[in-house]
Amino acid sequence: MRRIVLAVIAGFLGVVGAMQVAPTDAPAPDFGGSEVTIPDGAVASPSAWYCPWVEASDIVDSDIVVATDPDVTVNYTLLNPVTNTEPSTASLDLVGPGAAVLNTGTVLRVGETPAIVEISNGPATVASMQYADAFISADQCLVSVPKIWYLTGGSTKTGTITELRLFNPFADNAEVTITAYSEFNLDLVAELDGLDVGGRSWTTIDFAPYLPFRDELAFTVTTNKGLVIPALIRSDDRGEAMWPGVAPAESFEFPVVSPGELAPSIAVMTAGDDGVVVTVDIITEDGTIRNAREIVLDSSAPGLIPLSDLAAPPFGVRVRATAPIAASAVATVPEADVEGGEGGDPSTTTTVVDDSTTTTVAADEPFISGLAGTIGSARPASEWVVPVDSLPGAETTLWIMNSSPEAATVNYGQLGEIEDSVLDVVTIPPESIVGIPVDVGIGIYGYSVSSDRPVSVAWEISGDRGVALVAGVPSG
Amino acid sequence: MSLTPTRHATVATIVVSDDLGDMEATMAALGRQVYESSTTAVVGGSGESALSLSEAVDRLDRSVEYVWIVRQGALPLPDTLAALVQDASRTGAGIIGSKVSDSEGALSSVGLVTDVFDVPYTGLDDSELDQGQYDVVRDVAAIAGVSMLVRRDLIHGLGGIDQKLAPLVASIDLAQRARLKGARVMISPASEVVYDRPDMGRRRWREDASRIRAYSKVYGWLTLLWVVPLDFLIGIVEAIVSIFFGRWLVFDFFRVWGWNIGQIPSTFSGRRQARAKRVADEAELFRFQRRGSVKISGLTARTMSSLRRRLPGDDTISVESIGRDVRQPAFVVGALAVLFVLVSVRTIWSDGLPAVGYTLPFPSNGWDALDGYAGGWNPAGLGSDLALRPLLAIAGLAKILTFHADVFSEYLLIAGAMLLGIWGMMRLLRTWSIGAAPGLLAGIVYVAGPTAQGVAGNTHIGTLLALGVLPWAIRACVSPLRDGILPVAGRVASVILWFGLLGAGAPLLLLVPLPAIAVLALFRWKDATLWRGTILAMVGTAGGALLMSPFIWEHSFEAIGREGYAYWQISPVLAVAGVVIGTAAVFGSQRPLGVIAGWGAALSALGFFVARGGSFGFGHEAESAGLVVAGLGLGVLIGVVSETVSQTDLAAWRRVLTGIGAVAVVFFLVSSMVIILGGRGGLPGDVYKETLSFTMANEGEAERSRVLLVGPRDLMPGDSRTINGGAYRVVSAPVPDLGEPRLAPRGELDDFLYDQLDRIITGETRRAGAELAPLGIRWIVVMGDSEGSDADEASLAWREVFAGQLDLLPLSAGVENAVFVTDIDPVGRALTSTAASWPREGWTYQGNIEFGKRVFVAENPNPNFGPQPWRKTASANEVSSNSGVVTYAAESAARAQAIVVAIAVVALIAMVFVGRRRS
Repeated sequence: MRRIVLAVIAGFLGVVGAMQVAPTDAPAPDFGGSEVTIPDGAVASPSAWYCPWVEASDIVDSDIVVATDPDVTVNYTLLNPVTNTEPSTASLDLVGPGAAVLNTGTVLRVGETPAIVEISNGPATVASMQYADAFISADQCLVSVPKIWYLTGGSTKTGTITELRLFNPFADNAEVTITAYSEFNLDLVAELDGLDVGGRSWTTIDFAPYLPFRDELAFTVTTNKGLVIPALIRSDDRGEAMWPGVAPAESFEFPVVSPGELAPSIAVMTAGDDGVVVTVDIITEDGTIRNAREIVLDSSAPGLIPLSDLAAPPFGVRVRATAPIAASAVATVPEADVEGGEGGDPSTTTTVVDDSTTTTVAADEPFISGLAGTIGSARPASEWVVPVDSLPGAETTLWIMNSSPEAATVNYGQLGEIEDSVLDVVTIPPESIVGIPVDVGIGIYGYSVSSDRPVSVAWEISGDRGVALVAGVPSG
Repeated sequence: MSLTPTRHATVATIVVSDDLGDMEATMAALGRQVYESSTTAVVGGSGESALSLSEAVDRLDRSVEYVWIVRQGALPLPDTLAALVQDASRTGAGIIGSKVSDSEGALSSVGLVTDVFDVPYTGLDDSELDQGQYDVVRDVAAIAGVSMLVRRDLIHGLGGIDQKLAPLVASIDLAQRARLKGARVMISPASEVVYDRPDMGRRRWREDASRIRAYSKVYGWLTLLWVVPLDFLIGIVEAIVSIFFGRWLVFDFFRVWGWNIGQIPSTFSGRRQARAKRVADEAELFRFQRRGSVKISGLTARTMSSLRRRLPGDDTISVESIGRDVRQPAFVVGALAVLFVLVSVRTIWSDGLPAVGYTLPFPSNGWDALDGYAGGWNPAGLGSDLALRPLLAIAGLAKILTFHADVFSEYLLIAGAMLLGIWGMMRLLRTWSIGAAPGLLAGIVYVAGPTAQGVAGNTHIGTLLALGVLPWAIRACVSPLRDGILPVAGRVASVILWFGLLGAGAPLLLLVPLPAIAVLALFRWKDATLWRGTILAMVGTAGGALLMSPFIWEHSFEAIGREGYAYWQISPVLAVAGVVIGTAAVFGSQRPLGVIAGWGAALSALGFFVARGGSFGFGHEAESAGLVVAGLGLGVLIGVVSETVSQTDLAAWRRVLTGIGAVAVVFFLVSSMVIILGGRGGLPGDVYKETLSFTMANEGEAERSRVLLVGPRDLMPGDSRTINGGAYRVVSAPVPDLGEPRLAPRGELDDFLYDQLDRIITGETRRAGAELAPLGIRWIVVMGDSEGSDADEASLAWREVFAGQLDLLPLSAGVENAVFVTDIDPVGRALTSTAASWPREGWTYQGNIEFGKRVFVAENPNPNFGPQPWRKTASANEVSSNSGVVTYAAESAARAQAIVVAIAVVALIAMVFVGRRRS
């Protein structure tokens, strides 16, 4: 009897034990994942900015412009193209709010020298500008390092060169896969699968040999190992433009897309597997043209939405999509006929906004030569710290877009190595843009912009050498 | 009738008085001799005017041919002297002795053989009766010294007897010196003496000391060169082994050698005299010596006899019984079990413990471990003052006892625990009359079966060691006990010691014996032994817990038991086999084993339940404890099945049932053999020694720096912390030791590390090297596969974090994991204000003295760090560099507790020995 009681106890315990289930596997660490996570703006803490496209040689010069709100120490590291050579460094203490420019040629003049800019506090932002007698190219530097980058607006049509700069500022080797999309949908290039980028080095890929005669090119750069910062460089015989990769979003604002008389377009690609409807609103100094153009974007093909026929410059653009997309603005010398868009998707439709759906643009040489491109802002913000630059014979204009239905009161002030900053106020009507020519140089290398409602900010530099568009970075 | 006149040799009789025997009886016996001696004298004794033997010999008339030396208490037969004189004359012996037997008729001596160390050996069995079996006149190494006839001229020439020697050794010495001069030393069996050897008591050391002096006088230097050290070592072995037989010879050992050191001048003098004008060398002495060491042989025989008494079976130690036992399966399987253990842990002998999970090498310096345990600094992670586990004290003690040998202490403990486990299971089962062979089978499955493999797989080395102790702890409670205060006190002490040892290895197991025994008592409620055992277990639990001081006061059993998640993955086949064994044991066995089997089944099922009961709140360590309990129950079941299956008077259905059970037993035995493959006692292969070996590439860096390990939690050494779901922890280089696996709650410096990691992970900084350098972290190792399509998600996530840093360089040459090294210099766990890095020596930091400077010590801040003045700087410590060493003043309460525990352990051990001797 006693043994039976014990056996029953044992049986009960054994059954309960056997019924237990294994614990669920612990989830993988949440360090932000591998998706694109470009931060919305400059953060109030130390940061490192990566500027892939920096060059200082006998014909090209580069400026790196830093604008900051608090006092900071800025450390510049310029990688040397000579193998096994230590990077060159420079440092400066900047009293905030302030801004400063560094001509990289004063530190290292050996050609391509991608740069790392470390700032001891924030919010602070960095932009880089390259220039020569025949071109200007500029855009913001990048602070985040996502695993997947999206770059749109490339082309290898006759006379146009598209290059991709892959900058690995870190010591660990990186391995990336570049996936190209063109008007022929997915354009496979075996050589670009599993491409190695050595630690603390960079590589520049010219796509002409791989994908020649593509009117539209877009890329995703996926890092299988390590991290890289890519930048797209598009050039032709009239100029050069550079812009970095972007994070997908359902909305982008481009405060300026139409420098000079260049013909602007919006290059888009979807980040998902499904088709997406992309709508473009044109925002001028006088108001907004809603749904100015709408296209249905296929999942495996980029789209190029011509804008020059929609309004007279200057104007900005708001791009909306039914799913996350990547977008960039490209402005080129106008061609003879842009009917239906350049190599546009067959499904592209043009919204009737005027008497005619077809615009004929004269093929005259624009008053400035050039090629410009930039990325947009995914989110309007109330505070911006904008590093700006200038060159002799060029004008710098600050563009502010108020896409909200109410007027915005915007305060903007100079940043730089000056004691008395001039503060100005401008009221921007609802759904319109304002271009403010600003003084740059002579101690002024940035502007702080604050608004009573969210706005988007960018700046433009144009002159004899060409034109460049630079997206601003929000700071609050 | 012969008319030739007979000339009788003149003999003088000298009685050596030692105040131990009956002098009157001796004198009476001498008076009855048919061969008259010319004179009789008494030498020695305690009187002030007593002559020495040499003086007496010197005073003899030159006409005396022989001197008959008789010990006080010896009772020569009437013809003893006549036989001696006759044989001496006939053989020409210089020294001839009598056959000695005691008053019971048992032989005491028929001449002596010695070993090379002059330890006498009679060659007689205990109580061997004289049946004339040795009645041959022959040469011997020496005479017992009870009754011997010596030529007067020989003894005079030899300088007499060495008065400094004990009597027996003095006669050996005399014989050896005589042999060097060419004299024969013989035994005359026709000459008989009755002599009851008195108890030498505490004077036995003198005999040992005399031996050394005796052989030192006669051997050549070359022989002494190996004899003396070997004799010294044998003395150490004897002193240690004798402890287990209740004899304390350590002081005697020192006394023996101390005495000889004091006698060196006179020994040299004696040596010159003995070896002068010798006609033979020591080779002549070796002819009459036996090979090997008499002491070692005696110890071996005694050890075997003691072991045999603990094995089930006949308690006799006769040659016949040994032969019978050897032929029994139990003895063979026992030998196989030892072989099994030796093979199962062979890798630990060569490589030491693998560094994996909670199993880490013992600290290189045992004193560090003891100091750390006794209120010292806890080196785990970034350090703390939390009490370390008692296991560390045991490891430290083992290290000290093995003279800090590299891996011997680790081997000793692991192999010892396995053997102890097998042995303990046999002894426990023997309590319930289960035989040796079933006990051994149960023991093997207990220490090497699936449950033990589960514990080893969890890398809980402490539990693995405690596994060997648990059966002993239970047995100490439930085995029969003799009456009397001392035996009871000895048993209580023994129980407390076993329980303390159990808790030291695995704190949770301390709670097992009491309920286990109580349940058994409940189901065998008429068994008073079990109720007494329950009380003993209560005392043991309380006493054992106290022995775990100071650890026990800073940790709770609940916290230990709930840490982690218990889930033992068991193969369905094994589970079925376990059920089969349980059923066969419970229902197939006869009374009273049925209840024991039921108890075993309940234990087994309870352990199984706990080992999988993570959802009930049981943690990882509880899983291991549960596995030990399950293994214990399984062992009992296997013992019962194996015992029952061999019984012949079983009902048919029982026979079938236990037969099926026996098949399952075989299955478990086969599965136990798996641990032989790795040779690590079931422990997983090494991870960290190999992974972190790169830290030794540059001399001195490992001792100055730390390693940050990141990756999957199950690849971390011991405990780990998490940030955003990612596991990390800091360890010492080149490999963390046993002081490091268990982390204390986060301190200020831990918080600092957390914040820095948060900044690194969120991308707030891209200079991880600079952020981590203040903590002495030079390397970051991403554990697990962080590359390719098979990459572990956690490893990949961490790699991406550190791949995106500007001041970290990847190490690629010869490293298995992704490793990053900081670009920052200097990096140090202890950095002086002049940026000099102090290396870690043992568990502290030492460097060059820098007067008036400071040392920044990257450990969690604690004012006990010194030398003073101490300051908290950046969540760490800043102390003076004036002394060249960073000190830590132990917590006084913890130190006092540890000292009390040490004293208590010694006292308890003494109590156990006293109790056992009285038993």
